[in-house]
Amino acid sequence: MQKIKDLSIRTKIIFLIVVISIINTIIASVIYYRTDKKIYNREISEKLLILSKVIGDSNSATILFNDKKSAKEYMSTLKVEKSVEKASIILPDSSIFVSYDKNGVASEMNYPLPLKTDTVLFLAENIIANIPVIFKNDTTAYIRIKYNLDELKVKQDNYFKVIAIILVLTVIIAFILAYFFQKIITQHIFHLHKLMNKISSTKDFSVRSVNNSKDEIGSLSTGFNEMLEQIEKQNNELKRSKQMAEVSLKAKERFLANTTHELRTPLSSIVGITSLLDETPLNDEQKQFLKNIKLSSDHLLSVINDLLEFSKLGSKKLQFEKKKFNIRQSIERLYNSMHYEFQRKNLDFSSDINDNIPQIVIGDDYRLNQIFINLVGNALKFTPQGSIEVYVKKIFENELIIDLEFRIKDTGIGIEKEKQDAIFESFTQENNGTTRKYGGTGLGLAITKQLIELQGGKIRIESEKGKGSTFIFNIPYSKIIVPQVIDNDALNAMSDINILLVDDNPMNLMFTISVLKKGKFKVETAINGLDALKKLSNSDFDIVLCDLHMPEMDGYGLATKIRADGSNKIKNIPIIAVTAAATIDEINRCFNVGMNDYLIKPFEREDLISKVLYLTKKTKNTDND
Amino acid sequence: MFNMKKNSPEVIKSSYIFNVTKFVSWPIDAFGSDEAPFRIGVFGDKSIELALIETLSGKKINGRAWEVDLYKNTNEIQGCHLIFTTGSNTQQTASLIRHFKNKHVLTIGDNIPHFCESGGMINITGDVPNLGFEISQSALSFAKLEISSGLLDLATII
Repeated sequence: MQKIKDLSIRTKIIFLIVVISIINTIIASVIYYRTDKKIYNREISEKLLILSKVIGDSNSATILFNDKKSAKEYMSTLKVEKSVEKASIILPDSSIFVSYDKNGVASEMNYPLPLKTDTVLFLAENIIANIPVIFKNDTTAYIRIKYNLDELKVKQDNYFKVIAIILVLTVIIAFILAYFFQKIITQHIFHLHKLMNKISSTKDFSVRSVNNSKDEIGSLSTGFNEMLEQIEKQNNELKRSKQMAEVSLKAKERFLANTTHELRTPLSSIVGITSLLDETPLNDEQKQFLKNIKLSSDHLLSVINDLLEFSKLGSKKLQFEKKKFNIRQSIERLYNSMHYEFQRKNLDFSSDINDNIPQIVIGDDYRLNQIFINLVGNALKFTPQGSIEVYVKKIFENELIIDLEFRIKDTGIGIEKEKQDAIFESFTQENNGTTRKYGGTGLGLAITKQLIELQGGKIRIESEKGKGSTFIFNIPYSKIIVPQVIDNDALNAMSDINILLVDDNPMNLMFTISVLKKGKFKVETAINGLDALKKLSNSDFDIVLCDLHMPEMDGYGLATKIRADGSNKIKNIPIIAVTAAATIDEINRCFNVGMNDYLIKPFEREDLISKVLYLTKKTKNTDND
Repeated sequence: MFNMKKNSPEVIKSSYIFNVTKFVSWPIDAFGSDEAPFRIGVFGDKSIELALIETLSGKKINGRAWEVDLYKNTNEIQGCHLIFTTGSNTQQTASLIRHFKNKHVLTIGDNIPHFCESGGMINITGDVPNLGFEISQSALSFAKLEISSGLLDLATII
């Protein structure tokens, strides 16, 4: 049954029509057969009756005058009737007057028929008729005839042959007609189905089903169209709402940025003048007032800074630096900056930085510091006693990236499990009372989370109410390529490196060439991407250094062309971007188009040489493998 | 009552005569009315008369009641439909035939030589049990009597 369910509607319709046709044909055949059999039986009865009458009439004289010889002659004329097996004339006293047998064998017909009935009996093998001969109102004798079923059998054989042919024809015709007629129903369904698929793949809700029929499929189609209309309408409304929301969000952020900027200017004056005022001779009460003013204005400034930062994050204007820095120094600086706070609250501070973490990584030191200040500041705020610990360990490393995990663990008040997700949302603290007790804008953690995520990391919290909190976050930093000892010997010992230098600015070219003078670098120059491609196809290079912004074909275009090269000759050549415009977007774009590294102008000589050596050696080693 | 042997030639012949009436039809005007009886005249022995009465008792001839009369003289015969003659007297038989030639009267002879040739209609030939018929169709049609083909098939046509 499930199999039938799974068949396509087309197959189902054809199957149904064919099956119904077959059943109908069989029913019709059976009815026809039975009716025909009845008619045949009646015909046979009548035929036997007539035959008996003829025999009886012809023999009325022979019977009455006991002329057996003539009677026999009469009976022998039955030979023309091939189906008559035997026939007898039986006198009323049950004695046989004459008998006839088709094969000439005289034998008794032993059928348990009462002599005097007027009967035609249909048996399995033959038909027996027993019919009285009435002459001038007297029953003078009985005719008994045994009739075989040869005729019927032939008739039945023919009948079944015809039925078989009709059945086969029915199946064929039903199938052909069903195949064509099912389209009346299915074409609309298939049309709807196709339309649905189209909508799913193109997301174009403006299409409509065309079906004017008034049947169920027509109303299905109408319903489908109405649904599409609704969806389209809702989509448009959603789009409009989204646009409006975006516009208003932008306006809000702009307003926030402008406002905070406007606030900062007079506040700076207040802070500055307060400092100046502090240096003038004041009595103790005045000094106390002034201290309060300073505290309040400092707090106000930090709130405004938070707001400014937040508005920058919202408008995605934030950029991250890619600078070398020392993590250990960062943490030291962190402690130093908060040293007084720890002392004031009598809290211990400890840090543990795993030994396998390199001294120097590349990333945004300033933002890391900001994250630390937020999280440690947060911990300080909510830890009445005990300690704050900072751990740093490595969770992932490859040739280019080292992913560092930072844990800031306090012994503070902790946060309930249910609230732990919410604290990273803007303007949310554990509860509204928190603000009153501990202060803050509720933006710190939201900003921290954004800062971490924009650098490719994640932050989470492990905490239990009353047992302290641990903030855990990770940030992937670029690894610094370990600078090789570059002395003249090393430079002399190395093999020649062919460099293609691409830059449209002659001054830049000159500077770079001068940097590469020492060592066995062979430098060729190209003035744009197209020129570079020509040179690359003419001779072999080990590495390409290219500017990003050039006429005709820029650095991105060049890198794309090189990486898409079908010949494989230059496809894997290392490329270093040399650029003055070091925005994070541009650096990301460099890697996206397949560049291997980048240098920010003005660059250090060692940086350039070590990157060149690293990449050419690496690729050469790969080639040798 | 006179007692007859069941298979005596008289009885068999009587039943033959009765059966013959079934194969012959008389014109309507041979009878005075619908109720008029079928009259049989017998020329010959009393025994055959008795045998006939015996055979016909309880039966009807062509739906009519019957009368059987024994005659000695042709002139005595009045209104008969069937005459059976044993034919002992040739002269008498000849006059009989002549007398009833066109009067709707079926004449049956009892194994009389040349009965049909001399104008008789049906002659019962042979001896019991191998009886046969001679029939003169022309004599029958002359008397406007119709005979069924069933009987003709069994008979020798003169």
